[in-house]
Amino acid sequence: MTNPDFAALVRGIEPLRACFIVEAASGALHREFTRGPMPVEPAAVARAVAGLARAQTDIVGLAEPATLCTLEWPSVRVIVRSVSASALVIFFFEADTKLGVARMHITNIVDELDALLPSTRPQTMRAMPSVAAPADVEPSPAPEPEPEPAPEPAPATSPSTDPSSSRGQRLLAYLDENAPDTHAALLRVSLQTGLPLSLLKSPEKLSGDEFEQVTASVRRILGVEQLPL
Amino acid sequence: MNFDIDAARLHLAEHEMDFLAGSPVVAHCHHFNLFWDQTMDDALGEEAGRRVRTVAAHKSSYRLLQSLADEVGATTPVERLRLAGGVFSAMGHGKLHLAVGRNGGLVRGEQLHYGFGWREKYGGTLTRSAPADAFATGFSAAATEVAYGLDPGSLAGNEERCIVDGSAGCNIRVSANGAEPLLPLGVDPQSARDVLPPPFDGLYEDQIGPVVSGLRDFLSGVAGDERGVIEAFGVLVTAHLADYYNHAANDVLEIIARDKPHGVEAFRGLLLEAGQSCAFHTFGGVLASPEWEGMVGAPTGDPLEVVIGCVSLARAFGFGRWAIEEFEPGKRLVMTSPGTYESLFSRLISADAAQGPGGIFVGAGIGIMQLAHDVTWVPRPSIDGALYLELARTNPWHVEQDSSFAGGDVLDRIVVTRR
Amino acid sequence: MMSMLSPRFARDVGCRADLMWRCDLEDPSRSSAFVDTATTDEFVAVPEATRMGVAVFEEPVSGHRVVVVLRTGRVQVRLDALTPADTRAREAQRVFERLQSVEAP
Repeated sequence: MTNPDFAALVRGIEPLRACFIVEAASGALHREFTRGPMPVEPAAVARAVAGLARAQTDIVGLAEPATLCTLEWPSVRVIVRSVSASALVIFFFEADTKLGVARMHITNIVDELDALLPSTRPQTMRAMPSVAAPADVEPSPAPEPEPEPAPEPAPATSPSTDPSSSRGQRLLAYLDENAPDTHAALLRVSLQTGLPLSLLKSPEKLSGDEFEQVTASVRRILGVEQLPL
Repeated sequence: MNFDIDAARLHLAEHEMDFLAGSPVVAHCHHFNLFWDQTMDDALGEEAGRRVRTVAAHKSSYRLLQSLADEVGATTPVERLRLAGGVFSAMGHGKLHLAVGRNGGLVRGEQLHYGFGWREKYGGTLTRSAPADAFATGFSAAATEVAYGLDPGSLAGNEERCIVDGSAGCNIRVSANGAEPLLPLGVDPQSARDVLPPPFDGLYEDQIGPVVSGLRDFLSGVAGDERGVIEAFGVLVTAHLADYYNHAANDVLEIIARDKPHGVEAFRGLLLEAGQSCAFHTFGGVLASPEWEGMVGAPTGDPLEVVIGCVSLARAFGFGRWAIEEFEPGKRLVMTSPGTYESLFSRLISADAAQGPGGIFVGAGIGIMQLAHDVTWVPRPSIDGALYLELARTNPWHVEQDSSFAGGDVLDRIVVTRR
Repeated sequence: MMSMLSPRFARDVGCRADLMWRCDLEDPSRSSAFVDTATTDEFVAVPEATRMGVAVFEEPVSGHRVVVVLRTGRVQVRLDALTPADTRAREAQRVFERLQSVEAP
């Protein structure tokens, strides 16, 4: 789920072990960067921290982008910052990082993170078939105007790079990560291609021609000309 | 022209179905409508899918508009075009400016439901070039034919510009080119009375009845505003021609059963998904709305209360006389109906009724159980897309339809159980 | 003078992004008084929608509506359906601030 721009931005922060962008309302993961193994499961942390942020806004309200909380765990320091009414960034620093240094790094990149949001939000938004999240987040009284959307909102994540997986598996894993109504995506591929669901559930068995059909279907579902595969 | 939609509405109370000038109408939100259209296009490709949807709209709209013109005594083309524009807006589909003559012309659309809904839902995240408003397109062709006394299929519509690609507005060209004769078949109140079995009571009717009555009272005052937009319970909704969905799904099913039979399972799966999504989002959204809180009271989290609310909503939306045969919280729900707006069409109109596509009744069964058991209602519900996706991935509910009115059985019956 | 609304203002369940917002009256028993006081030139009553236990009033210039559940004191700010997405949060906040200025009679 690593986005190249996002990764490039945060990779340069040496004491940073991981960084996630999550939707404030749901905790859904937008972007993920990790450097080496993590002692915690990112999605679980994202959900928990989003809940914490919501609880905080219940108590004190939230009007401006701000640092919401700092957690000092034995293995890591966690800083949660809001960058818009709908997104949080969770930074995981080495446990011995001084808080002032951590905050300095965050300050240095937060504007650029903000600029990334329009291209990061779609992934979750596309995955939401309907009702808007009832986030317990106060509206920003004067939100910053968002940059124009990219001409073609290409799916943000990179494909699975598991070398042992087949290209069919990688293709459908990519679809699963990026499709709107992702739980229905395989049905859509089956309907578009006429290939049986049983075959699509074993994508390593796709023939060359079938793989091409599925590729065209994935492109159509994602609304893109090219896939980063 | 403001059109009084309630004056032309016939409520078939015993079967909880509504008819507008003799054509069945149901309430559906833009999420369901977009997903439905998308499924048709998935089945056939964008161009062929749009063609089938446009024809479905054309057929169903022609029936509506011809009957409506007869009922209200609109005789001149001007009167009939005004009537068509009025009913289109009253049904919540947006606003049409019908600058058409006997040979066609140009129709300008504003806030057309599908394009507007698509842009609202996906506009910030997906790109699209294929126009979205097949319903308005078929409707425009039918309106022109009815206005000038032409046979159905004399004209055809084509949406040349649509806001989904960033255009400022929607333009529909109506012309004689490429038109084929159409047979505007559809369900009517009398045939519904004739073929549907006598209604029967389920459990908790003493609680369902008053809620349905209250909902109907509330909905009787709901119609499109001057822009042709309906917001009921905070949901962007249409009063839609049931036979638009039915014609499209039946035609598509017929084609894919012939041309790519392996896709049939997926097609049915996606129609079921549409029904599930409708129940979760629309029923759930209504249950969480201030209007529901004022009328019935905010849901307390009691699963039975949610099931009763959803069955009441299905009835009030014209889906049919859904009833609860059994309900065991956490375990099992059995729902029956003498028929639904889908199975009634299949029984009456489809070439192969036994294979009728269906989906709303079966899919809603799962959606209702998710709402009843998997949503935290207190202190405040969180009925959103993220939860829906999460529940879809971990769905513990399994549904079977063991009796199909479309297929010749005496009623529709589904059984939802925990896996 | 005290606002009749509690200070918490958050997104409400809604079928489209950022159109529904929620706040609550400090004292639900004063719902009718709140509706009476809030109905001014800026907010006009919508009689056809004011039924079934809710009161509805509208800001004519914007089309935004305010729905008050009389029994519970829940207040929903329902932005007009055509409100541009990038202005919704700001518009909601503006309406909320206006409602906050409604003082107990």
